[in-house]
Amino acid sequence: MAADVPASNTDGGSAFAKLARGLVPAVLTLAAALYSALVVCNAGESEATSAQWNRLAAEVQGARTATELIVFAPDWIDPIGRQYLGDQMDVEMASRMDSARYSGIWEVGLDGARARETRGLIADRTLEAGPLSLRHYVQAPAKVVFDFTSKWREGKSSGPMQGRPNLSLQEVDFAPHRCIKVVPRPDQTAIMTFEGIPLGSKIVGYVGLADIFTRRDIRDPGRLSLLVDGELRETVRAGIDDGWQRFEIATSPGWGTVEFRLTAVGAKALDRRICFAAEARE
Amino acid sequence: MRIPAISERWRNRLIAFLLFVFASGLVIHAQRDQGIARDEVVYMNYGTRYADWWVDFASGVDGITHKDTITKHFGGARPTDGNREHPPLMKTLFGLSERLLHDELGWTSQTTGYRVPTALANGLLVSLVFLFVLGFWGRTAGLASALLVLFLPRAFFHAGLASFDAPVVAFWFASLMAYYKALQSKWGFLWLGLCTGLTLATKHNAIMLPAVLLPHYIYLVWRMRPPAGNRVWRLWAGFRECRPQVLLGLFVVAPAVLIALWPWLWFDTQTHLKEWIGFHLGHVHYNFEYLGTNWNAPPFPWHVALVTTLVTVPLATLVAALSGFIMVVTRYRKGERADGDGCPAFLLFLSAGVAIGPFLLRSTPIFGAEKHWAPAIPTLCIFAGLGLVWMAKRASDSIELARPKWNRKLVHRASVALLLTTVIGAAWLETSHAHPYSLSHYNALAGGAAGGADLGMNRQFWGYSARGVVPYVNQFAKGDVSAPVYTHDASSAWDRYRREGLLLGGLPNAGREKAGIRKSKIAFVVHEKHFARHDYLVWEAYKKVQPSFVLLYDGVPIISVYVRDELLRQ
Repeated sequence: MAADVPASNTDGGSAFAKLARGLVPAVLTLAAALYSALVVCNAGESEATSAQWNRLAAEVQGARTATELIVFAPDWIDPIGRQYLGDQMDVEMASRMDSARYSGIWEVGLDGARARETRGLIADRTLEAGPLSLRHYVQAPAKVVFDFTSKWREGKSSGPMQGRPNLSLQEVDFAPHRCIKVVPRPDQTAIMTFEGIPLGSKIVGYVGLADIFTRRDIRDPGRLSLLVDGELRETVRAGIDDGWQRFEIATSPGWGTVEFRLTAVGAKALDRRICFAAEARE
Repeated sequence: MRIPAISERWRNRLIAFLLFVFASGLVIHAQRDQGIARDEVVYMNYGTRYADWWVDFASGVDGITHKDTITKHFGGARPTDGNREHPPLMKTLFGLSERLLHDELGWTSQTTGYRVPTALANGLLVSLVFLFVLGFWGRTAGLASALLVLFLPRAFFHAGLASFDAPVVAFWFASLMAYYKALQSKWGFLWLGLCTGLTLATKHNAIMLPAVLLPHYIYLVWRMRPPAGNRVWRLWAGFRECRPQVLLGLFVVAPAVLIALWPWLWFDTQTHLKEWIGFHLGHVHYNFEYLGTNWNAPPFPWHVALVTTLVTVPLATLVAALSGFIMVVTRYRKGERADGDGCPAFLLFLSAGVAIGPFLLRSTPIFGAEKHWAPAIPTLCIFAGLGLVWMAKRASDSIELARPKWNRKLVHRASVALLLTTVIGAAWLETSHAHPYSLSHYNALAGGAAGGADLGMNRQFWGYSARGVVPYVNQFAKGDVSAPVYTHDASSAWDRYRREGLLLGGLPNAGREKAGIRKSKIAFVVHEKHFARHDYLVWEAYKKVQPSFVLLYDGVPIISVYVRDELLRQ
């Protein structure tokens, strides 16, 4: 049996209105089809070319100082960005704790996108190349008095843990972070103590759980407690979805003992890979 | 010479056949550019093993039906031994097809040989959709629906793989048609049993088919009940009117077909069935990115299936489907029969609802996305076909009212032609553009592939896109000097690329994880959110963050290739 759809528009109204009402669904569908075809046909058009990338790479190469960071936005263009500017980046930069210690940031953004590292900063230099924008930002770099991460060997470790603490490049929150990895025994606390180290006005750090597969299979959180000269100053819960969490405490400039206590919370918290990085800053 | 006229019936059969040939041929041709998917390799390997068994069985080899021999081919002690977590029909056909088309006849490459049965199943689906819609709503709607089923980027991709997702849609839909056959003829229940059995022997989601057919059957029984008499008697009379053999087909013949096709069920049947279903009820939750979040544990968002469908089916197909849906619902509310006595629209609703329903529960694993609820898609395309015909008629009726002197027939034909060619053309364009990286493709509603990346939608799975970096990697093949390649998610497919003649010698698979990366001189990383760690492992080993090559789809990175500096300098 064939489609037997009755004619519409038997009610009142002008001929034009009737015509318009009858055509609306078809016109909308045609418009959707044409728009869809347009998007497909232009799909490659908005892509940045190698020449455009190379132009920005050359600009950065000529002007960047060693203490400046390179970032890309949105996040998903990062592999392309590293393909063209990766020779100016090292593993340390890509796996930084945060951007505070850099004196400047070079940001390559696609279609006006901005990186989280440049939030609140105003560009002093901009260059456009097709859909790409290169922006340069200047910031007052954080002065690091003591880098717990790079000087992790100066810390004394104690408490029940799997293996020993180590400095490694880990995936935390699907991003690269060079951090101190500690794996406390389930429901136990491992400790890293840094005795007699220089302190500035604050300690800034980050903590998170490494490795997506252990985050998937072990749902119990980790916890970091920070003590300065024996006094508990901060506790951060690191759950499986909490990402790379920042913590900051004020300190008195001088010398002191800093203790990081890492706990695998719960008896089922096997292989809970807690990663942290921290700096004492002026 | 006068060409004899052919009857309407034969003309429609010819169209259905041509659709089958066109759809199958197109997929067989197109899949040659598709990479080899991780799971596909498993199905190919077991397909060969199963096919060998059936050939020996047909040859009457001694002891072939012995429990130990069957176990060796189809099962084992562990849940995934013999790939017994998946029924064997398609794997067996992959193996037989490869044996015939590649080994015996030499007509195809080995990979194509394995993939032909899926392409044929998809061709069957396209022609069945035409015949189904033709029977209820006419030829134009049938043609439109069939072509819209063919031109879906994601479904087209799955139709070119030696896997189960396209075939299960075909057999699921065949079961819906066979159900009508069972309602119409005395022996039609055998068709229903056969088709449902084939669906069961293809993929486990077939166990949901009774949830489609039974409510519809009960509705028909209720509708067929006589007006007079007590309630029980009336229902019984309605039941007798509705050919009770339907239930025989569904619950006796179908399981018998499944068991007949799966030697693993020839002994310890109950245990093996329980283990099969139990495996899927307790399936591990793979990582899957959706709207910027990596999901690997319930509760999942309830809207995954709906949103994913909205951003992967061509936009005009969606709009046309919405029109068709509105048309059917409007006519139903007006008390008009939109779909004849068999209530096919209701059956299609049920089919889509049951296919998608589990994903609304928030506990069903979401990895695999559209392929897991694929049996819902023909419903959408059929409503799109109906919508197109309805819109064309509505438009031509309106034009006739405004311009009564215009040739009505011509206006109607022009409206139909314009709508169908534009909408089907847009769907074809999108499908063709997306190929062979369709799993990275998102529609205009999402803003294309880049829009999908902005939304944080899954980029791909199964490592199939590695095929795209093979030509780049081949540059480093230097005679006898070996350059091991860390092949990440494509490790199981790597050797097959070599056997297909795509990959040059001297580029062996370096191995897995850290050891493989350490050994490798070239490493590639397939971009999925949860695979980010592989980039970092390579950075540490290669002491650099710069990939030498990034494979893009519409500007979106899908694979990064790293090459050690010493190899680059050579």
